[in-house]
Amino acid sequence: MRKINLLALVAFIASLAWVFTLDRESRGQIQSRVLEWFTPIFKTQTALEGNPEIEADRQREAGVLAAENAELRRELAEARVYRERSDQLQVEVNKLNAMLGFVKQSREHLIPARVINRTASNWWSSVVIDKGGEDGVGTDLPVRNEIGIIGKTAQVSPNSAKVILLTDEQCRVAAQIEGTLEQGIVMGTRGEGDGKGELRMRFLSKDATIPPGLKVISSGAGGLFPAGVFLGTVQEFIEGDVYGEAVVEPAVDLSVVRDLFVIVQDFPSDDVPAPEDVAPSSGDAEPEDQSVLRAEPYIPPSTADGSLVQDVQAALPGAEGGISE
Amino acid sequence: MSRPPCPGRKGGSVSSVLFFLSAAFLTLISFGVQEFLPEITWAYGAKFILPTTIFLAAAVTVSYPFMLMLAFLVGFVWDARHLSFTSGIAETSGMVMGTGELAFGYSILLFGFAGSIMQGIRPLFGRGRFELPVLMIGIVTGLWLLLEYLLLVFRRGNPVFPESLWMKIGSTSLLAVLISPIILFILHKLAQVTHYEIRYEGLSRRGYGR
Repeated sequence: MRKINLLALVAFIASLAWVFTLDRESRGQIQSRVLEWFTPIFKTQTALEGNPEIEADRQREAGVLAAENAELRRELAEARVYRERSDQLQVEVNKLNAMLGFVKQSREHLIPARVINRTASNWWSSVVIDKGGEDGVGTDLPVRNEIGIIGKTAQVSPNSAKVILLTDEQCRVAAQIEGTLEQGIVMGTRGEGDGKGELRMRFLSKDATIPPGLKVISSGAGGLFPAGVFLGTVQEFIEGDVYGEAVVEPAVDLSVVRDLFVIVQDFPSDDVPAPEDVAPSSGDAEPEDQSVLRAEPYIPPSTADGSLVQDVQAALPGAEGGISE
Repeated sequence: MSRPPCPGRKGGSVSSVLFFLSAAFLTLISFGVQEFLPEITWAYGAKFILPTTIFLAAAVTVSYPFMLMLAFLVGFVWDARHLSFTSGIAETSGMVMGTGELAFGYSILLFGFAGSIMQGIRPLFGRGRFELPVLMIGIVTGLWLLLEYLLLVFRRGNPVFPESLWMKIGSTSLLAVLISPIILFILHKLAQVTHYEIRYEGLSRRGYGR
């Protein structure tokens, strides 16, 4: 071997050793920077492709679109009412949990995002979305749409983020089968890089009776994914020597998914907020950032003046003097 | 008797460096172009993998040190672009399961290995034979894909080799064979522009009796 080739080989091995020993933080910074470099390319690609839904809408009549718009507005108003009620209940649950000494549940807010790239990787299923660190997106956050779980975020750049899809083997969700006591881990199948793969629910009891058609939902174990979100439907149960396995059809067609939400948890402090701290501000206040659907707490009058808390304190057995806010 | 100038390069080391920089630039550009290339769904998700094809084609045109530098560059960008980064603290559920993800930098190793194989056919390419390099680009692309998959199997366990895997590897290799003559032609033109002569130094050395 020529001397120069030998020297080059030694330098190559030394460089390789440096890369292999990069710490997690440096690696994350490199990947984040490279993702940011690619972001304009992704956005150009998305712009060139166009939105097939918008193109389809252009072909439809104005009357049909107006009717659909009215229906959507009605559904939106309904959803706002439900959200308000949900927030109200969450605040009450947090207060009651605090009084009972439980860890308070976090509130969530959703960051709407759009897919700008379907990664051309060989063996990995992932997409890139148009929201990043500047929008509040971080690493390892659950991503969903109105139907079910889509995946979790990976590297994040200021203006974009990578989402590992549910059909990737690397994305694992603790799940349970609705209507049974069976729990397991839902994960993708290896080598299906196009997001069309099926899911496998592993670590089920080997002698479980799981007929096709049962719904699989997230169990919330592990803390990353929220509980009770639809994952898919059981297609087949396969008995194994040690544990059973179910073939699950994903709830969301991940090969065409376009609009989604990143779920960001707002972890409250340990102290129970005083009613005046969480009381709503004046009704005419506008949210600061319209791109973030914040679940602002709504405090009903009975909670705001502390009467609900007093009622619950009185109702709890042996609560006299034992519970304080 | 005066020693003849090195016949491997028309313009000496400057031409080599210029050609290498051009090839490196072309490879980096291909990462961007790759994003616009769709998968062929009926071919089990096969696609033109431009960075790999350009690297393999360039590997038969440059010297071994330059090939290693190119392998490092392409492997580094490939991993930064395609590997997923997770915080490592939220791997879902309390069950004991590792991430099974490949180490950052594994592609550098794979590209270095693939490039070394391509260097073995430089003598033929230097003689102006294009058929074997074209064929080898397809074979090495398939080998590179297979090695990547085997590394995943090694890291994650549960070895499965479905039929779609072989179809995908085969289709992607075939696509690489189809596109490689164009890549080699572009590299040939780049060599003309930079006054770099694509030849194998070993053969030329023997030819001149050094």
